[in-house]
Amino acid sequence: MSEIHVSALETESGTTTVVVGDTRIVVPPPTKPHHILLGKLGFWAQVGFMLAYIGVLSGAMFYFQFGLGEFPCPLCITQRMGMMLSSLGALYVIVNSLRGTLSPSGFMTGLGFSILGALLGAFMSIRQILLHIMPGDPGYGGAVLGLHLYTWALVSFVVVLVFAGVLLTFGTEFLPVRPSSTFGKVLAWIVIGVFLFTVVANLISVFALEGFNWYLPDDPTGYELFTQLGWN
Amino acid sequence: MDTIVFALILASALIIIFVKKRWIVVLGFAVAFVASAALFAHHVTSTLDLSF
Repeated sequence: MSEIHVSALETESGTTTVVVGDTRIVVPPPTKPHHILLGKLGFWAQVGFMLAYIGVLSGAMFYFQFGLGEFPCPLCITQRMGMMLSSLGALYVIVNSLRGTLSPSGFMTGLGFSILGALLGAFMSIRQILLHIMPGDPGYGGAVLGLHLYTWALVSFVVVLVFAGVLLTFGTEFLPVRPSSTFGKVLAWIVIGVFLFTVVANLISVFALEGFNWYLPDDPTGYELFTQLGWN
Repeated sequence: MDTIVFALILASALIIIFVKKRWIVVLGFAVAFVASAALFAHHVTSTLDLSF
């Protein structure tokens, strides 16, 4: 039996380094109340991010598509996909936070998903903006506050990139901490449920638009599925 | 194709919720991401008549 040397050193920042034989263990300082507060802020920021995209996706679908009867073009549909891919990052962070299994590296995986989804979506919306950039071009579909929906989509993707960039700059300060109340947890799961419903509603809506064709027409004028089934 | 891509995104969301292994989650996201990018590439049919 050999003797194992154990020593401990506490630094000014509160970190304790314990050395057991050849192994070095760094013990972080105890969690302070403001870390919990920032963590909770981080959690609800992710929920807010998801809610914002649910609002945008639902607004585009229920108001512009069903309300005003404007059929989305193929590029508009791909931008909805970009928004959903970006939201998957927030979903990953929220779900793991609610489970209590969110690690700093898991937090980064979620932010990575958000950045990749936003970058792809930005490419899609920039392509559509450039298609209509020539002077005199009326653009595609209606405008909101003077900007077309694909331009607003680009604004939203840039906001996501800034959001992820700021969180990454602060490292683990905003590492989400799940709410302690049952109400908070249930509210977060409801938002997750509404997100899933939004994806399903888009799936059904695009199936009705596309029918049994492989791709959407460049300028859709009706629901192809109903025509193929002889319903109109 | 659009319907299939939405189905892949839905599947990726369900994997995030129900599967705990991270490599499966990343794989699900990657498949949905590549499918969306491929669909976008299909719709980019011509070079724009613009000079950058």
